[in-house]
Amino acid sequence: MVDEAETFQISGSRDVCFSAHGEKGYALAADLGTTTVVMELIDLEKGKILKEYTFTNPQKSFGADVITRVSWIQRTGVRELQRVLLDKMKDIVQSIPHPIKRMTVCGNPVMTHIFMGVDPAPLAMAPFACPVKEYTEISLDGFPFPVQVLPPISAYVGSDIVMGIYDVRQIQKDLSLLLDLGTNGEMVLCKDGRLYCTSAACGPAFEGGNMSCGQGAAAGAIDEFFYNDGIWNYHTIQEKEATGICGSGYMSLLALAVKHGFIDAGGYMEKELIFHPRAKLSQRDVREFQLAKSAIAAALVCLCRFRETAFEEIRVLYLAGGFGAGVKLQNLFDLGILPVYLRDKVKVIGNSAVHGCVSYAINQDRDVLETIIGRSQSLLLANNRIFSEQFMANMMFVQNDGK
Amino acid sequence: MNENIAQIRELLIKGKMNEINALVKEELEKGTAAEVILNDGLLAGMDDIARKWAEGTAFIPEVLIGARCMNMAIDILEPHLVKTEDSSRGTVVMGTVQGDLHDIGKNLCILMMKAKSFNVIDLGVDVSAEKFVEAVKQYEPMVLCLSSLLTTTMGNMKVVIDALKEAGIRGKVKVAVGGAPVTQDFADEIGADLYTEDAVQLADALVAYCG
Repeated sequence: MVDEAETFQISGSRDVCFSAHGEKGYALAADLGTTTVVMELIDLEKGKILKEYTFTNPQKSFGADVITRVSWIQRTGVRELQRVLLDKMKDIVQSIPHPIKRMTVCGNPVMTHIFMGVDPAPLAMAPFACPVKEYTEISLDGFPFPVQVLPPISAYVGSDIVMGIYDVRQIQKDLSLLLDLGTNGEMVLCKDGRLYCTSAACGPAFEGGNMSCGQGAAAGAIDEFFYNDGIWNYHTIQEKEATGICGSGYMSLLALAVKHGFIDAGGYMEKELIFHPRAKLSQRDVREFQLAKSAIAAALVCLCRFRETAFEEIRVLYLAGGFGAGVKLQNLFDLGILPVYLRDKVKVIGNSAVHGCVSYAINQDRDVLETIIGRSQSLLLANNRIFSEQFMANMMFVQNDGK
Repeated sequence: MNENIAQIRELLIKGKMNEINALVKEELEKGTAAEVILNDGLLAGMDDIARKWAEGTAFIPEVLIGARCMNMAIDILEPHLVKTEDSSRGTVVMGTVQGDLHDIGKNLCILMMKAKSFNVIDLGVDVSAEKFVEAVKQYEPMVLCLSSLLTTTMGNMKVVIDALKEAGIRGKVKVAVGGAPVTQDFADEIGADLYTEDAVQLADALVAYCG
């Protein structure tokens, strides 16, 4: 069980202690993201992360999003995309001076299928069949240890979410929500011991993608804006010269711009806001952001309505994702991303997929994993009437009362 | 023009649903013809949004918000509208191809075509080639519109065109294709008759085609 107090830390913190049970040796845990891959080297006996490896998924050269990559695979096969990722991971494995006992891998369904060399095409189109639904142990060239690929819940809810649930096991005890904000907004409603999962394609706007001055949360990215007495100010990561705006920067910028009337509730702005040659907010950015935030808000409504749950009833909202501590929760409410009823119920849990995966690599409790899968059900939003209706209804920058 | 109707037109882009609905009801009570409210208020407002969208000064959210308001207002107008069969420019059948569940783009096209007085039959999403062929036989449309939002499913547009050929009815209907990943080159390659970049251009192109 992950130490609860520590799960509030953001991934990358090497001080997180996972409960261990005396097994000696080393293991790897990997979270295969569409954009970023995270690998953790674990000391099994101490239950500690020794080293974290983070790199851009080399499949990016075949397309930024999963659909583009799948269509590439439809034309040329899965091997090339599998190879570029495995090559990169192999390099890391070879650089590790310890013998590795096993590697545990989670990720979104398209990523885990490509990793195994299985054609992911059925995942990407109706009726959304999932070729490999089971826990799979494979051996791969260049990885002299067993590789465990964790099972997804469905074609559109991956093992990264399973690991999120695994990480925050207390989610199953309460009427609660787990929300992972990334390129896809994945979410889980836990009610009466059942887990209802879905994912909303919100696009990369929250990660700074698709935005005119967007960038990842690296040095020079503006991560927070301020507006006092008519003057704009901002803070950059590591206080470097501004190079762009990252997701949390956009959150705070949008919230302030709406609050102070630069953007009206419908999203209309009189004129572009310019803070720096590499930091602007255009009308198109605002619209891009609206699409993303509306997808999340609409998906939350669908999920709760599916199980006839009012937001007022939710006890805890676990907020996961690469967002980190940078985001002021208030912004998420001011922008109408999260319904107001959840205001005092948010727990930020950082990168729960990675945490869960590390924890599983140590504990190897398949029964817990299978129980989670057995209790889970996924909800498809693509053809959901309530979703389309709510997607339009939540475009506005107003507080979200979940109605 | 009546002030309320001018206001309905303006409020549409702002998405003020309640105000629009109130004005629509007020006008109906005053005895204004439902067609006038529809054409000069709602459809004109939608046209404004469409033009701004084409210019790049309005974006999908405004279009969706406007469409939502318009649909709500049309529900109020519906019982008052006089049905006239021959006011339609012609019949169009539209659907999203098999494997693809995206309907927002398709619905925008339908909205724009309806705004230009086409009679549109909506086959929905994830529509098989067989269903498209059947619909063409049944409705005998002038144009069949195929939508796909995914590079993984756009290949199914060719499957539909081939099925039309096989059924011997390819020559009877014009095929228009569109959707984010679709290009003019792709349209040419699969033997489609028309490709447009967006819903506004599609509606305009069909007006030009059907007169």
